[in-house]
Amino acid sequence: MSRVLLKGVRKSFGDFVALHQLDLEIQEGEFLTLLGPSGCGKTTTLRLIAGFIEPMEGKILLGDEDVTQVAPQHREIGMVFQDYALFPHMTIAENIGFGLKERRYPKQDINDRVEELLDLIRLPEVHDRYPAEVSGGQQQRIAVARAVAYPPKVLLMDEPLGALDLKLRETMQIELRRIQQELAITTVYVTHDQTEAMNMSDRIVVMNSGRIEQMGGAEDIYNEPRTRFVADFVGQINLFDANSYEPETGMIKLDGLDQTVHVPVNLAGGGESLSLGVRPEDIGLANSVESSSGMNHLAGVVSGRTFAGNLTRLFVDVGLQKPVILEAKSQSVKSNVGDKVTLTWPVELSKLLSD
Amino acid sequence: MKTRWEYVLLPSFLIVGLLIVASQYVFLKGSFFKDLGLGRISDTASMVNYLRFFTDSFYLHTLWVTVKTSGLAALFTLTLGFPVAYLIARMQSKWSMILLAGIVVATFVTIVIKVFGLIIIFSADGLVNQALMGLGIVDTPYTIIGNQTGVVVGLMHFTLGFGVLLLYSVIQTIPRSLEDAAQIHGASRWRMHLRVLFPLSLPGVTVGVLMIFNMCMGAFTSAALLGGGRVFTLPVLIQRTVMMEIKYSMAGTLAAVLLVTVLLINLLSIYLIRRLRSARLVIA
Repeated sequence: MSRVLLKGVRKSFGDFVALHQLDLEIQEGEFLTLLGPSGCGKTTTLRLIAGFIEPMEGKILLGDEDVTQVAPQHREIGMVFQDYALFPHMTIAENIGFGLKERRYPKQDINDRVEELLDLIRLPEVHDRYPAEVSGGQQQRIAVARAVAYPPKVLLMDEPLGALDLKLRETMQIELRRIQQELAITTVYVTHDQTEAMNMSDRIVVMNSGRIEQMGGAEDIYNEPRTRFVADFVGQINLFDANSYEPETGMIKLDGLDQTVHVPVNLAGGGESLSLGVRPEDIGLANSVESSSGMNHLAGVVSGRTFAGNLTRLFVDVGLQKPVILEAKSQSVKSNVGDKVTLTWPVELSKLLSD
Repeated sequence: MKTRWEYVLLPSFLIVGLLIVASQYVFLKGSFFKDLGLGRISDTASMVNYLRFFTDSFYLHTLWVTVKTSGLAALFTLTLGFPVAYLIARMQSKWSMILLAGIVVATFVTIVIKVFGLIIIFSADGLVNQALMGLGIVDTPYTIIGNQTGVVVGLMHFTLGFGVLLLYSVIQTIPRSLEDAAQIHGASRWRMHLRVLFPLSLPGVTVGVLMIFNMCMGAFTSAALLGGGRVFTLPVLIQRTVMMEIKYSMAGTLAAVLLVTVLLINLLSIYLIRRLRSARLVIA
């Protein structure tokens, strides 16, 4: 259990730059998720911490120790792999005890610890079975037990739930979080699934093309995205190209529409290419076109409607290429395709995004 | 009614079956009749050829030399081929395909050309001897023509490419993440090989080594050319018995002994691996 520090870490593979100058600190006991699309550098970061690859520049510290040049087997790290990577020729007890045996623990200690871990993952009856003889979810938990057997300084997880079906994935998210909190183990988790990231993490690091786009708690990331990429990647959002933000009034002009809307005043953002982002659940339908203060309005025609159980989505054509999507409780949505509507949303929920 | 397309396969099945079974039948049957000289064969069946084989030290020695050179060649091919196969299997660039293609091409170049290459390299003023003498390791040129070392080298040259391809396909089936998992959980590279790679590749490697051994046991060209008429293996001896002594029945006997020996060694190896596996030392 200790913190992890990456200082100015750079890595490229041939011409492809996987990581540009990455600085990242993971606090002791923290559950940190690296979130991003494939190729964003999240797995590279994880493999650098593990020691499977070496950075071209920069340092990696575990606790206070510089481990940049230390081989993986001496870093005292536990790792859960995407395909679990359980040893097919060893029993489940042998798999879990692997790291302890490699570190020459006495046999009795290994057995006791394996028992303890099988209890922790709630699979006490499977010792002598082989990985192929248990289900995918069970293999997953066994892989976690193996990774934490020799109490590692850090636990790394590389998309560990990717191979499971949706229901099981949700159960496992809770399960993994429980185990992590019970052991209070510093954890770095890699995923491209934003729901997974938000469900489990203390802190999320959104990555894009080898750079950190934004980091923070799930709510910060979702409610206050700073860039168009983050807003779009985490959750659903309607994006409008915009120009000319006036910090004093909060007024912006939308590209392709002869209309201005407001965002909160005196935002730090600015720069050349700006966009406005509004979450589908923040948009409502106005009864009248008359403007009320603190609200934005946009007129359009309903072009589509989908039903998703508790929620219904309306697609509203406002004269831009992409329709604006709004999402509301099913029983409150009365409009149908072809209806003229006025969209409205609060100014303070309008997000000003840079590129 | 559903058309039974399987029947279309029947003729080719019969032809292949006939070719394999009939040829074996002819020499197996022939091996039980005495040669009368000049290619004539007696009408009455007897064990005389087999008796001769197992009482004549020359024949027994030939069998021993065949098994020994083949066994050594198979083991050396494994030792040389495994690291190469491992490297190519774990390479993450386009070079792996290029290297693999190179090995395939080299493997299927006729062994005659490859053996002449070997002979040139190992000749008295060839590359190897110049180096050895230049470094002062030997005083007189070292030759591999006409001795067993040469035959082993020739057999290895014949099988190394196949060996690398076979081992490559075995290693490919073992996910790389298993190696990573072993390492991150505290195993050194050596311990990883011992506890993960070796047991997981053993069944495939055994089959590969057996195939290479079988190829060596039946190899004629490299053994004949490098043996230089002084080292006899069974295939070389069979050729001489047919072409120079014109004793078809004795040749049949030699072929039968070769066939049975290969069969026995293969069955024994598979049996041993099974035992190991059920004893939980190895698992496929």
